[in-house]
Order: sequence, then structure tokens, then C-alpha cells
Amino acid sequence: MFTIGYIDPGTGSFIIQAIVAALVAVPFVLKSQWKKIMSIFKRH
Amino acid sequence: MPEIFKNRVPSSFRDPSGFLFRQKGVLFRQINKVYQEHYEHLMKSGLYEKLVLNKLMIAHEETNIDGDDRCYKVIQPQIVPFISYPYEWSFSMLKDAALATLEIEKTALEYGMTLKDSSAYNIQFSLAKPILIDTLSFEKYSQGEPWKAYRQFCQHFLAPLALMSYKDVRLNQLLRIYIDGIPLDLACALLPVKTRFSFSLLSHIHLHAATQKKYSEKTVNTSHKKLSHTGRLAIIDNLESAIKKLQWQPRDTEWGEYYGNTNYSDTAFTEKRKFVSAYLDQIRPKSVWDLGANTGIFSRLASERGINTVAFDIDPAAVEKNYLTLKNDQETSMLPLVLDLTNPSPAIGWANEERMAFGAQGPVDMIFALALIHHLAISNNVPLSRIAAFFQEHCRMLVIEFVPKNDSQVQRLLATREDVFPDYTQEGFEREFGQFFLIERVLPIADSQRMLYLMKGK
Repeated sequence: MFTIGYIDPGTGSFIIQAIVAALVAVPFVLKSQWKKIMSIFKRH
Repeated sequence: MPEIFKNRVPSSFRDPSGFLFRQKGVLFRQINKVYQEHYEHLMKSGLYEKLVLNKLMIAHEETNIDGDDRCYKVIQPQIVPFISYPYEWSFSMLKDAALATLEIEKTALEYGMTLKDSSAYNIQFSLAKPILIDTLSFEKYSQGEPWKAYRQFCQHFLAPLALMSYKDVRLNQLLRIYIDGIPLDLACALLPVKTRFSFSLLSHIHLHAATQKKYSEKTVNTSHKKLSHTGRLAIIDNLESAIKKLQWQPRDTEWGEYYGNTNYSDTAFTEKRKFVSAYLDQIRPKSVWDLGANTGIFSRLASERGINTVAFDIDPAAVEKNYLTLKNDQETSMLPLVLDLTNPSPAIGWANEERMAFGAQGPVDMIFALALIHHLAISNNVPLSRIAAFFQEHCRMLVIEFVPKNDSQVQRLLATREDVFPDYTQEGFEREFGQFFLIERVLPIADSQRMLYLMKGK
């Protein structure tokens, strides 16, 4: 596959993105699961 | 050389995927061969349909037009009535543009694609909603890669919004100077210390700026840097929460309570509305620019008739109130923008051609210059003939309110200064404007000293 991203994403930006993603991934999954659980309750 | 090279839109050159050009006045986009597989995925995966259906992206038609030797296909995009820029938007307009960008990215990920850039200039307002105009912004997504457009999103959207919210609403004007968004180190220098106590702002602005600086001179092998799909979604979600939390309440500015403090009686106000409506119904313009529109009270006389109306005002609070009203009422024919007429948006970017100067999209059918002339002529010392010349360049018809010296608003302007305006009289006004316009009608506004003119450009 030929990638066609042309802007400079920035080395520092890649690194901070990876760090932050690692920190927010678990809370994000928990939040998504919580929303799913709550929507089940709301239906009843 | 193919004709299309000569007719390329000057701002469309960075992306190797394709470019915009005009042929016989119609706007087209050439898609280059390098982009073919991405375009086909966009169209076949269902992403295009989903985005157009949700009014997140403009639609387009495929054509049989020939491009140059790199061309895969030429498409004709749906156009937006007026091009505007993030330094002209109010706080909530920039916020809505940011949220639309994130919504587009989330949708794209569901269809195996991702935004390769997240420039605020890819978003325009159409029918009063933010919409993506760059159909070629997407590329196929391979799991594990970080979001390439993350830096650009932080600089074009998050940093300016944080500055507007935490420091001063006028700081989006920095986007005029920094063509690729506000540099994060500058944003850090300006943001108050309390922003370091917000996890999102700390990460996406402060620490982001620090890592940018740290790695600016270094070559790092980032090919092993992987971001899980969940990580990607989590970052987008975090950015979305951060943007949603940013608020700005328009405090009472100089113009905030304008209509309460003027010497308009109800009679005068009603009469002025009646006269402006009469001029609109007589001329039936297809487009109107209301200069000094405040919260758009008179602009609405045009937009409610289905006329494409741009409501310009110098006060970000007035433009913000206007935008929130039209969002709430679901109006579709108005675009509110921040503009200082004494220092309007210049042409900027590469070769000063990437972003258009104010007026480049004119001349417009009709300009409203209501309760404006005294601010230009007296507060800003602009001679009447220069004001007339400026208006004549940008419109075919002019609806202008002459506010004489004995009006209480003008008395207020002259209260602390010398009256060096001997020609600022009704006779002087008609004489100077008469050089550039034919005065077709003039109606005195009851219960006031003001006169409402309808003029035709010479």
C-alpha cells in the first residue's frame, strides 16, 4: 500500500501521542464499556 | 502545457493527491494516480456516502474531463457560497469546526481510513454548519500507525481554542500570522498556569510542545512506534472531551448591549427595518454583505428571504451571539464573521495567495452599511470619499445609513475630541458618495435624525 500522507507529522508529536495513548487507552475502554452497560439499563 | 496548470487555484498545491483548478469558471478537482487506491476505497467502502449523508463532507460528481499526465480522474465538487478562514470565525464556530474534524476522523476509522491532515482550512461553513471540503483528505488506515494529523489538529484547533477560552478571545487572530496553526511553544507561553492542571491540555499542548522541542534536532527511528487501534480511538476521544470542555461566555463588550443603549426608539427601529426590507424587495439581490452587522438583526431581513448573507462585525461577542442564535434557530442562509473594516483580512500564505483578502470574493450584489459610517469617518478618520470608493469596489448596490452629528451616538464619539470633520454633513456625504454612486432613494427614519439611502455603484 502506498501511503500518501504529505504533512510533517513531527517526531515529537508521534512520541507524545504514543505516550498519551498508552495512558488514556484503559480509561477509554472502561468508559466505553460503562456506556454500553448503562445503555442496557436505560432500555429497561 | 495543459491549460489547467494556468487555472490552478493558488492555495491548492501541497497535497500530492491532487489539486483544484477552474475551467470556464467552474471549480474542479484533479485526482492524481498516486491517490487512486485511496479514492476508490473512499467511494467503495461507504465512507463517502456516510459523510455526505451526515453533512460532514461536501458531495461531488465524477466527470470525463481530462487532466494532466498525472491525472487519474477529475471530479466536480459541490461549492460553498462563501469561503472563510479560522481567524474570521467566532469561538463556537472554531469549536464546532474542531468537533466536526474529530467526528470525521472517528467515522473514517470505522471504514478503514484516516485523515492525513486536519487543517482548519479544510473546513468551511455551508448552510451554517462546518463541513469538510477536501475530499482527498483521507488515506487508507493501517492499524498500528499513529495519527499523522495530530500535530496539525493541536495547532489549528486545540491551541487557539484553549487560548480563546483561558486567555483572550482575540487570540485566534494569531492564526493570521501562523499559517499552519499556533506554534505549541507560543501557546504554552501564553496559557495560564492552571491549564497545566488539566490532563488533556497538559498532554496535548504543554508536554507536546516540550517533546517537539526535545526532538526537533534529533533523528529518531519512529518506525517501531506503534499505536493500537484502541489507543487511536482513545486519543480522539480525549481530544473531543478537551474541546467540548472549553467554554467562552461573551461578556458585555462595547457592542454587547448596543441596541439597548442607542437612541433608537421602537418607532425608529421598526421604520428602519421596514425601509431595509423595502429596498431588499425592490432590488432582490442574490447575495448581501452586512458590514458592521452586530448580532445580525438587519442581516436577518436578507437571510430570511433566502438570500446568502454574510454578517461581518468587529466584535467577537456579537459574532458569537449571532452564530449561537442561528444555530439554535437552524437558519441556513447566514454566515457570521469577525472583521475589522479598518484592517480587513489580508491575502496571506505562500506568495500571499493561499488565503484570499477580504473582498476577493466580491463584488457582492448588495452591501448594508447601517449605523456604520460615523465609526469609519469619525472614530477612524477615514475621509468620506475613501469610504465611498471602498464600498463601490465591493458591491453593486449599497444600503447605507447616514448618521448626522446631532445624533446622540456621534455626540458620544465627539465628546472627548476635537470636531475636525467640517464636511461630515448630509450635503458633504451626498457629494462625496455621489462621485461613486447614483443615489436612487433616500428615506428619513422617523423619530431620529438618520437617513437611509439606496445607492447604485457607478
